[in-house]
Amino acid sequence: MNPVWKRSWPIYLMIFPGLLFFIVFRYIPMGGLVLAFKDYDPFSGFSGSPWVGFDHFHRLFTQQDFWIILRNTFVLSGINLFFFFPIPIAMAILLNEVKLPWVRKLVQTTIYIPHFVSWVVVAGITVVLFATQDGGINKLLAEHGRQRMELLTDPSYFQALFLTQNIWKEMGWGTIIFLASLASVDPGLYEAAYVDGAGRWRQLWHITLPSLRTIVVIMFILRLGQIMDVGFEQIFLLQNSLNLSVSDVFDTYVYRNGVQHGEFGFTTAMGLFKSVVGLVLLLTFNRLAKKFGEEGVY
Amino acid sequence: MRKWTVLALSSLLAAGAAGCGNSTNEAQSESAPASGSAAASVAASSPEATVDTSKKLTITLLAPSYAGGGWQGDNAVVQKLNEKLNINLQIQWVPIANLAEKETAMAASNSFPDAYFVLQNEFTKWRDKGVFLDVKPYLEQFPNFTKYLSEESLQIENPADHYYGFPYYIQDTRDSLAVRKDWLDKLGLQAPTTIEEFGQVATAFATQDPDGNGKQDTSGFSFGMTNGSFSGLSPILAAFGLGNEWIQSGDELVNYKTQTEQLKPFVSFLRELYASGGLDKDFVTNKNNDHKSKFVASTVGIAEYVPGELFTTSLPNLQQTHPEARIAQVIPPVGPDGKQGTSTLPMTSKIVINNSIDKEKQQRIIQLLDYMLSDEGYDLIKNGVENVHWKSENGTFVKLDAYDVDRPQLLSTWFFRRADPLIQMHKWEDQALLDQLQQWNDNNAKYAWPNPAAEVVSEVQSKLAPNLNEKWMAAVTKIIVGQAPVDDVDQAASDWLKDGGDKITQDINEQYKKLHQ
Repeated sequence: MNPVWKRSWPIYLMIFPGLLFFIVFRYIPMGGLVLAFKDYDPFSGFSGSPWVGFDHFHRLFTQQDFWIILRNTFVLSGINLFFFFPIPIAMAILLNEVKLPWVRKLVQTTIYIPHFVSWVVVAGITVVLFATQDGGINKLLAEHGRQRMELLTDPSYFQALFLTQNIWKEMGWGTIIFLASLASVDPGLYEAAYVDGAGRWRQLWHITLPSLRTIVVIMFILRLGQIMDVGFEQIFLLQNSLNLSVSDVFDTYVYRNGVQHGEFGFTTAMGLFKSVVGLVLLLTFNRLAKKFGEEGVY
Repeated sequence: MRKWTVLALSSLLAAGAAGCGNSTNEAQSESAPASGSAAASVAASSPEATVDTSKKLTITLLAPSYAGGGWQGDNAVVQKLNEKLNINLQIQWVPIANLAEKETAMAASNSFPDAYFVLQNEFTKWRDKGVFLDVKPYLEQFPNFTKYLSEESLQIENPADHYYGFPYYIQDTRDSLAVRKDWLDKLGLQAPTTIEEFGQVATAFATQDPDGNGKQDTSGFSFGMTNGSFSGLSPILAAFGLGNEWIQSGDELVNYKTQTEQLKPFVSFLRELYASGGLDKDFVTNKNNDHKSKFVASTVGIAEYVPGELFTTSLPNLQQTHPEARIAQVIPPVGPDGKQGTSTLPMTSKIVINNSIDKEKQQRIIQLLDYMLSDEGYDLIKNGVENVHWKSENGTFVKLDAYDVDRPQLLSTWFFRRADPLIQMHKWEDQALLDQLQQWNDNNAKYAWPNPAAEVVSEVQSKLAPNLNEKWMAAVTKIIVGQAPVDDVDQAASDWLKDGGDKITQDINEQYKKLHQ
């Protein structure tokens, strides 16, 4: 037996279940992509359905809804990327500076509990707070003789609401990975800096931030890969006919046409388009990151 | 990414399942004529003792669920059915809003249950694909179907010589507007009879504090919006001369979304009510049944209801928190041109049997459904089990507490039943209540407002309508809440037509003519 193989077979054995998982649940299903080029009829089956070439894509790119959905998806993703993404980083740095361990633990636990609350419950809380007639905030406004605000139905509030929900629910959870990477910074660096007379700000600037840089870049690239996924449940639950113009995204459109009305071929084409965009962005930014001397994701 | 993978995976599984399934389907169709003749010959001898129940069979059944959800765990009714027919009945309850979605996914993976409830769209879409059992050959052998369901209702949506399912009976003019009588009395008002009065009452409910708590926390009425159509608003639509989805205009059927002349006063009416508070400010975020919940929560004074449900469930709930609550019927209000109409439902849902399961099981399912319509079985699925859910005392029937906990009536109200307008009324019910319901039913029956194209199914429509209707609804909602001028109705209608509504209209008219030749 090859000596390398002999030495390392237990390791390969340990990798195997994970590999199997990816093959079965990630790679084999990709065969389903064929649907994007077929007029799929469940009763004729996978092979019995006729090929339609690029018809679904033609329909996708020529209908006017497409541009609205694309715009909405990018706007909401952009909001997530530029306004939500930095918040867990800031939070992690702040928590890292807290010197009392029990305070840090308490704050950390408190802010990541909402992650375990389901979107349905979050949407319920949102309605109870923001509804125009029965919502808590509007009841308060009305009691003080102020104008009621249509927070749930006015499209101009939708994006803010979307962001606020996201921050409330996911901010704490997002800090975990950054905190972990801060914990791995060698304390000797801080001690040396302190001896050299660096204050808290200098230490933050020259030690904490640089040691976070790699993980931030990796997280950013991974997020870019998911730019077309803005979270079905959250948006679906916030959606109503007044904010449809800003809230209709790929996920809700696919749900309406594919899941509810059985247009599997067309919506698979949509899914494929989403994935391709995500992949292209991921590859581009990974290459850029490497050019600037960062590690990237692979 | 993950959603997409799931879809792709399920499609792939579907392919595999379909591949395996084909051979059994063929076998099935080969044996079908034989089964028909066998059934017929047996029927000639003796109708009752034909089904061999010696083998215990597991039967899976899918039924829709509404408020409160389906049965949890083992229900006494299921036990009784299991004993009687030597089966192991397994019921899956799916919320009605997700039924089509669930069944579409089942179609994609070819994993239908043995018997299930389907809505019109899915029934017609799959009817000719050989997925549903033709039940017509069994009707002679099992006489309860034709005895308690009309022949016409069996024919709905079916070709002449095959019945691919049983109808889910629905009373066409079932739903009715209900108003808080105690609120009317407090403000010295009468139940509205015209659209104008309807607006006045609704506004008064919002502005004159009908519940007397010193706060402006009530509104006049509310309705819902689901999948691009209004729910609970029919009498108002009808009063303004709008169609129940489609309306005959000359030789053609026209969609109500394009009746701009009638839409303008309709939208203006709702717009004024919204501004005055008469229309619930949160109506836009209402899902299917939220207007009813608001009525029960005593924040809304007028809502459309299934009267049986209102009398037996919602009113008692309302009176628990508001003992003073009383209700009255609102006769469909008269519109500006003297038009009146009440919500009118087509009987288009079906109970179907899986065509790809073995014949013995199919027959046992038919036996089960037949039993559910028989005197004994219908009593069981409507009133529950004797001495568990009700008992007889000196010749009168008394409801037991377990009835409210177990809700033994669910199969009859949600899945399958006789053509029985008093379906929600049980044998222990007070005669006064029965009379009242009968009165509401009789009042409503005068104002039928049928959809002429209810039975017409158009593939063009099911492909294009979801997005078109959603957009039209968004435009109209904007007008109602005052974000856009009333004249935008013209734009909404012409957009609807331009983006595919004209194709839908053309197809519906063609299919309609084919059906009514």
